[in-house]
Amino acid sequence: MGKYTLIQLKRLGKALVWAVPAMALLTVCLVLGAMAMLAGQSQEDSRTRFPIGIVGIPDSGMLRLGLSAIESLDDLGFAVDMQEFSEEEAEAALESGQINAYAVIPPGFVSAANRGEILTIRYITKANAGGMNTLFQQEVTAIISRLLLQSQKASFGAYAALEPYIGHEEANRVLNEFSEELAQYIFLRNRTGQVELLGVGDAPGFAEYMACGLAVTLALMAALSFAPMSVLQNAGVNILLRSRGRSDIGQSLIDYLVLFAGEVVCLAVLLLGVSLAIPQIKLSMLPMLPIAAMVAALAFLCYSWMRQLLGGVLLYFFTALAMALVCGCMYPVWFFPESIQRLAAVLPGGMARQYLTDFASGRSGSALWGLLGYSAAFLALALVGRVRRIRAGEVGA
Amino acid sequence: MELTIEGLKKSYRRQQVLCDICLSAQSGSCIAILGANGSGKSTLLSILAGVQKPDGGSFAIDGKQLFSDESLRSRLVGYVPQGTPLIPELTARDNLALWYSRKELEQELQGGILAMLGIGEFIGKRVSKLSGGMKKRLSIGCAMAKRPPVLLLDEPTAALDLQCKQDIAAYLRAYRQSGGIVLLTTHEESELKLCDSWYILKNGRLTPYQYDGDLQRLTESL
Repeated sequence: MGKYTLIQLKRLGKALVWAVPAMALLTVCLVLGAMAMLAGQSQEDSRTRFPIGIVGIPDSGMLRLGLSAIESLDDLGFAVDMQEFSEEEAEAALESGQINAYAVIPPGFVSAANRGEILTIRYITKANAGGMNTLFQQEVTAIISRLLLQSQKASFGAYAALEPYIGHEEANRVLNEFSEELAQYIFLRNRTGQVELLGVGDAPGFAEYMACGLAVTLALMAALSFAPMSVLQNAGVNILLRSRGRSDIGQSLIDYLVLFAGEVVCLAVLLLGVSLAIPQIKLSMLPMLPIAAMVAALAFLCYSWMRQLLGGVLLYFFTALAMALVCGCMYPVWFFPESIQRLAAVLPGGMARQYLTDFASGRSGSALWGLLGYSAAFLALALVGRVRRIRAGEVGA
Repeated sequence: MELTIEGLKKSYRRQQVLCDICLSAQSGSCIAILGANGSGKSTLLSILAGVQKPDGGSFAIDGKQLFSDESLRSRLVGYVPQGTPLIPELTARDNLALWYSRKELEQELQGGILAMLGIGEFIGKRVSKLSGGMKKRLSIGCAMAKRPPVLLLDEPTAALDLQCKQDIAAYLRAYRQSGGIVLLTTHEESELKLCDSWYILKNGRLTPYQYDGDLQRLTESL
């Protein structure tokens, strides 16, 4: 089988001459496209709304103003639509999918904060809310920081107002007291603004989510490059090898492994391109390997059952495209209805994205096992197709 | 050397394609299997080559059973399927490297089978650039690796030009003279003349036929 492996690697080398530049071009186009999409969305008025429920009417005009500010996160291109609810109503709305999450602001939140007390905001969400949790947490902290900045200015204003009446020393003493409280307050502000995430632990950031989704999409598309090599493989060679006593399953496994190797090379190009274009996104080759195994198995399945190149390309392209779209690899999955989200979670594309985001945020999940299971199932079905073709004595082009 | 096939059977679902096929051949003989399209000629050769499994029967050379000994069969039987079992994007040399070791390849190109087939003249060319005749010669060259004493050819000269047919016929004559047994399926008159015994495969049964050059009678018998 060594000679057959070498011959197949030689074929792969010839396919990669075209596949690598195509992958590099695709990476550049998609990265630029993604960047343009995010920039464009942030300027549009009619942005996608992310509905969030608010429980407990804020008792401060400043906080109400702050919450309104969160409703337009210009930097991210997504808007938060806040709706006020009672806790029971919010729970029902979350269950029905009317809102994606709800925050419970405890009574007297701002006045307690002014006294330096820590009251926790509870943020209740379901799984798959993704980076919006992180965004919400960051924005609440930012608003409290802004409140503190204004308070600091106010304390200096108070000193200026008091000094003519109570003298320099007394005004300084009052300012010091203020400053002491303020310093304590500043140190505590992250805890004051702490958001308790229920239902989701350490969800990935939005950029991480999109990078992972993009990586899965590109991984799926990369396998298109190997369609000619795989579909147009002359089964006559395999037939002759079988007549020479070489196992047809062994030959087909080598075909798969060569396709997998090609996929790995394309993913290496992709990672290089992404790391050069967006240095803050850290993706390594290691977590991509199970994804490459699944994608190669899916492509191998499509290519093994099709006799014509066009049929193989179209079957794989539409399968990959539909999967990338439905599984939230091209657009955040939490914008889809609950039923689609549930479907995406069990599809191989969704598992690949989930596995990658789990890996990126240092979590361990079951997505890896799902991916490996899909890889094994696709490979088994592909082998059935290949072996059937060889044993039937069908000779290709 | 004696080749014997006894009681060979093959059916697809409920349709019997080959029924109790019996055949024997001696060293240096060339046997033509004739039959209409879809009569099972290619199936018979692919079973003898080990590509497909028979439902029953035996295939032996000098009493050694080949269906039960895959490695022996692969050493003794060379097979050229109907299409060209070649990788089009690679060169003729790359394709041959799949079947020959580097040393064997050089030896055969110097004065062996590959030289006889005239493969040296296009050894560095890509298969996709070769003519039909060159491809067929290369296919035979691949099948002849390790010099098997039995050669199965499925319509070897179909759609080839006259010169190619003559080249291949010359090679097959030389192969027979060296003691090889050739079993081929064909519709070509030139190949019929090359053979010394003829069989017609019809309704799954193989019956001997005496070819006397009368193509009209042969066509009516198929």
